[in-house]
Amino acid sequence: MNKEPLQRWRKEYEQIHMSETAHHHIMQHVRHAPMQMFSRIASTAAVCVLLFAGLTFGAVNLSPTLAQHLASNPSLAPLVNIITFNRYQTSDGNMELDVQTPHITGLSDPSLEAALNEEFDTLASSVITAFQNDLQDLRDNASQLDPHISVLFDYTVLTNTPAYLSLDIYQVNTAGSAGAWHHYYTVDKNTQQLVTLSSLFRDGVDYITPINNYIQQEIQRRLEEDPSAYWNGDNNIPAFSSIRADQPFYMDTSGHLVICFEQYEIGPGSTGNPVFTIPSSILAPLQ
Amino acid sequence: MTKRKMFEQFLEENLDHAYRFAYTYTHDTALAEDVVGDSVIKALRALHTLRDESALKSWFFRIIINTAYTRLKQEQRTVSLEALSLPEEGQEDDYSDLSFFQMIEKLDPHYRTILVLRFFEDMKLEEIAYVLDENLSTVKTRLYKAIRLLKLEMEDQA
Repeated sequence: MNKEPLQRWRKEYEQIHMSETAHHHIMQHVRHAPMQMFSRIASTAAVCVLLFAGLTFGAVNLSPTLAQHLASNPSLAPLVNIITFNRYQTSDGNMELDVQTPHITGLSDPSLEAALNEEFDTLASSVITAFQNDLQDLRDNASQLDPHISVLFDYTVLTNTPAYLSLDIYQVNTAGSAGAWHHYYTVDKNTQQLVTLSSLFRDGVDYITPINNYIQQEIQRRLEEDPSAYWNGDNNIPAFSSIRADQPFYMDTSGHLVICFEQYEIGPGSTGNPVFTIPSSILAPLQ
Repeated sequence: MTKRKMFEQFLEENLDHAYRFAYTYTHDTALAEDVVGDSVIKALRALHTLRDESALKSWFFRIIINTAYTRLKQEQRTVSLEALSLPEEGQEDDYSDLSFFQMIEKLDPHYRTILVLRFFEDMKLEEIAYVLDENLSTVKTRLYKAIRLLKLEMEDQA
């Protein structure tokens, strides 16, 4: 009878504990992450799109057609709906893909509607193409690893107010998400125009510095709660220094500007996709 | 109880288990924390697809494996993933003097995971089959091979 190593190993195994910081952070996330991030709610009104994309799936930029509509004319908003236009599922052994493409209907500007829907279709097909490339790559290079990958491309409505509707088009790589990023496209419901960050402020005003100052402050506050939540310059990973002029953002249900960062952009993976709601008191003088 | 609440309670009790299990893949504490963090996010998003709530642990551990493999690939820490040369039965490789940490470095992941789930996480073979997405007989065969390989004399392997 030689059970001794097993008992010894089990003891050593049981002595492995997650750091309290990580434990705390994960439980906080589970308790407080907004529920609407986890279930899809089809809804009405204008559109603000945020996109989570996995590392291997490149950023999809605002198409030229869509960009032209930044200057589209204001008009009355009819009943606007988000529908699932297309669903594509495929699986190969342990590799699964599920893509649900949203379409927006009922926008008063049919060419903006068509451009948005074309954008959504392009996003979806780029995910499908990337998945197929990954599949081939893994077959060629890593078949001995018996990789398990599941990719979900889906959407959820984040915000639905008289002012804005936020449509979240996201991708979940059920196998890690290093380098996940967001793209937010915001449309003002009243004007039915896509909104850029700079368009929220007076022409020529420096909105970057006040927003940076607030985010710096907020990061320091959050670091006191959890010292490892954000990069602090250690290990040659630069700490947050400045937002970009076109930093991703969306408008929340209270009409506040929410500045968004990609996973790993300013903190470790366990921090997820950090967002900062900017108080109106900071923005008002700039508008 | 909502699935969300149930998952929260599950994590309260099992977060360390999840972390240890992730560690057997990453061999690195920070990476194991990241893998668990990412797995929790994935699980929250996919929770509505969980049919059998009693299978929550197996379901979550399966997500951990998927997440760990992808993270390791991204980190290029292929050393821990490469099919390590596996001693044939009868070969004079002795595992019994190794520490847990040496053992998980040395033992082929196919055998290691089954060993960990069966003997350190007390999972049933059926549950292990679900975690690994393998059929039961494959799991049994691998478990017995692992036991022979490690020269463990067991009264009741299953």
